[in-house]
Amino acid sequence: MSYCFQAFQGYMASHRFFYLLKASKHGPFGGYIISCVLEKMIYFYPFAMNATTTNTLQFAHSLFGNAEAGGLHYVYQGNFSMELTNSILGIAESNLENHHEAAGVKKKVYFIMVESLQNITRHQNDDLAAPGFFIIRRTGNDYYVTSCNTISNNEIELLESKLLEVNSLDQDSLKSHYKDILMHGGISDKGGAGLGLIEMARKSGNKLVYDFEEINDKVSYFFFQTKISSVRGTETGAGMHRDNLEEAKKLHADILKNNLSLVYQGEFTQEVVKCALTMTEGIGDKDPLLLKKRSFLIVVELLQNIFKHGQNPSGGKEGNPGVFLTGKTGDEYLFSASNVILKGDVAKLRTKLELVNSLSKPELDTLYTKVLLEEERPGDKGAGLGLIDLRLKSGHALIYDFRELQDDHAVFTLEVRISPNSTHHDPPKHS
Amino acid sequence: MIPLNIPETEDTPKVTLDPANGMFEISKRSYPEDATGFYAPVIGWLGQYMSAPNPETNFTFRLEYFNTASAKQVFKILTVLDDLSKQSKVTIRWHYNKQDQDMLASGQRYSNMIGAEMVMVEN
Repeated sequence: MSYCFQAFQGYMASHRFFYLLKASKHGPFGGYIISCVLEKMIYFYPFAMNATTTNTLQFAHSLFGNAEAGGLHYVYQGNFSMELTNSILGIAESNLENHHEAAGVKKKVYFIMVESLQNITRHQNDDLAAPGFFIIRRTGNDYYVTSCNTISNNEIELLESKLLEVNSLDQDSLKSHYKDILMHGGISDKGGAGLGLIEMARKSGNKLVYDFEEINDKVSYFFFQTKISSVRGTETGAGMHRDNLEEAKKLHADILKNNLSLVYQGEFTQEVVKCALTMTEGIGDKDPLLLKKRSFLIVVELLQNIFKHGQNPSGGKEGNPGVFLTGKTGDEYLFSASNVILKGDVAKLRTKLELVNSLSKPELDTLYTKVLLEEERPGDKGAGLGLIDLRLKSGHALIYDFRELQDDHAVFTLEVRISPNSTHHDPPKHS
Repeated sequence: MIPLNIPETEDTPKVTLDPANGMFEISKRSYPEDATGFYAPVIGWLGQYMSAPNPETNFTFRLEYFNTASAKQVFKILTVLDDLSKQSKVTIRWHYNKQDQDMLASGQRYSNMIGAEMVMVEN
């Protein structure tokens, strides 16, 4: 109970600036978080600290451990807009497609995602305006959709009574209850009559799992989880459902601790890149145009790098596994991408990164021009300019890490930081 | 010569190559999945145009974003235009947003790499 409360406090402290920035344009219901978690994630906690890498690098690596399972995972904190929702749903849809889920399962997952997102915005308490939290995760044959938003303490009793009622009904009773409410009313002043809850219980075919976490004497966090089983008869027990909610809460805390605003894990394709760009485009409405443009292009280079140069150890053709994180601390934005490479390519890539980091701005410009002039070789997937461009746009040294996997592969994580007024930081010269 | 018109998409630029109307322009965003594949017909078209060009070619770049893979392809287009400038008049206009110093710097870099006349146009 207490860690969630602490995490929330930490979250409020670290994201208040971000929220205030947005509040004027989108009103007090603006911020929220979306997260999709991948199965087995829990096994990779806690991650060991290492003096040579950043917390976010460690976090990215911890997410990557289960990349081969190929689930979906993202977190978003920012403004809730139609465009953003569409991007979130777009990424989820693309992942469902890649997993070749049956149309019925896709429709159910989609419906429950939409309903959960609406719950976050509709029931968000205006005085507090705390960002919500949303997770979709696949574990075995089950999809778990978890949302979290704030609720007035005096509304808890009514909501819990509705939840208990819905959970007490079997499928047939849910159906007749639904009709009954439709015909005889009982609509609450917020526009819901528990109809959403009934529909979610009906479509998922599983009990609704929830938890309230008191923040202070006025408000609480409301965690809410729905489970959709993609294969009939393989449903796991309610205990697993409950454990997954606890995992989601743990992930919530880790994301807040790392000041992250968007986390995505899954297969990367150009479609995913486009959706991720729509999400990141909303970042920094008040920032200078140059920063926005640089951020956009940093995201393009990082993400295209995953599917152009990454490996897919499972041999799948629909994109390469990767992790993408964005975060903001103060006025500095962070973008990080992880993907799989061959162990044999580590040394070469490390040399390239060391070179790019060792150059001054004029030297980087000269190198950029030199690479532009190079003849294209057949089979080239990029221009070989990506790292130079990232270093130029960031101004900072590129932060990177390699971590060996069990077979011939390694995970490569590249982290790029950028801030307004960032000038080129030349490397220290050694005599 | 048959004009080449490619409508813009979310990640590929609008391309207008229309000698009859004196229109040569590449605009909007360029970060395709396969930049080489996208620009191959553009560069191919320009190669054909070289054999019977207009007396004067005004070529406009009005890009908002381009990735590094596109940077290479843009340079290839500029190289063709550079060759063309040795046999007919070529003016290249490179548009940039006043606040986008990176776009200006890219234009200036290209300008230093080719002999053809390249004008930086602030928007």
